Amino acid sequence: MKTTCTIVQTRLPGIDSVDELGERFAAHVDTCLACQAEAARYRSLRRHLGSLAEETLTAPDTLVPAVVVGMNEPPVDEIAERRFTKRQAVAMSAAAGAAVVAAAGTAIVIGLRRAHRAA
Amino acid sequence: MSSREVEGIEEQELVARAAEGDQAAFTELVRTHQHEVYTLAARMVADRDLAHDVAQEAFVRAWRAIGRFRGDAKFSTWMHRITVNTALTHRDRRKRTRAESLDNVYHEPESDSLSPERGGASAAIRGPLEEALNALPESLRTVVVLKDVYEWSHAEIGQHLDISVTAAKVRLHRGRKSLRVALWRHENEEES
Repeated sequence: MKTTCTIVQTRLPGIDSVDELGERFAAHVDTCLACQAEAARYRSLRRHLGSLAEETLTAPDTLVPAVVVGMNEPPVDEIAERRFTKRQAVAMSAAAGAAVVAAAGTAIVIGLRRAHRAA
Repeated sequence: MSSREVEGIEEQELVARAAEGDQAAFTELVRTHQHEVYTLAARMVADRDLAHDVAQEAFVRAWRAIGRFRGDAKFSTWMHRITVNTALTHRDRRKRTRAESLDNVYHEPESDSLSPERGGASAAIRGPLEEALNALPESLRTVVVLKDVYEWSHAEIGQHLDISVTAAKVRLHRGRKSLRVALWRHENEEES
């Protein structure tokens, strides 16, 4: 295979028209049957891929009901927020409990010290 | 006034009502666009079950965002963008859960994968083409589908996939080349 053919055929997958190869390489394609055949394959590939846009698959019957269910569910971030709020509540309760225990402990210690001093 | 214009006006009314929180109006939009959204999702993820989940999530996302839909694009165009983003989110989730890049995983095509129900490419090439398309690594398939099937520009693809225009062009090049090799091999098998 000629160097020019190699260059042209390396570039063909990335372009939409032989004109994009530039004047020199486009002129080569005009005279080279191998490059014309390769260009035709890519043209055919693009055309067939484009025709897939006209094809529509039938969505399963379950899709619309599933969407309706989803529309009535809270967003994921809202659920996460709720979970966070629950976690926050638990953490705050634990912190409050710890504060009460600490305060009671401090009061007992102070009381004991005072009693000790008085004795 | 053509039937398409009437449909357009009806759709605008449905969108306006949906934006005000009318679930019935939005459900009507879902019924109208379910097949095209499901098709795009299926082409993006190459898996019908997953396509169902992607399409469902895309519509639910659209429902939550429809108040911000300005109407400067068609509803279907807007839905396409949401569907593509949702498919990419699913891809990222799967990547995280599988702890490996699906870009290097080739999918076994389903026996009746993406067989068309209406219109489209000639029967001779359609099967092998879709098989080859489904077998492409996801990163390449996404670019080929968006560029060659849905006619997105490289800039649009780059923006949605968060890659450069150059990267989009490189993926398109690699994707088309892989398809061409796969289809040529198929032709050889038929000839032999």
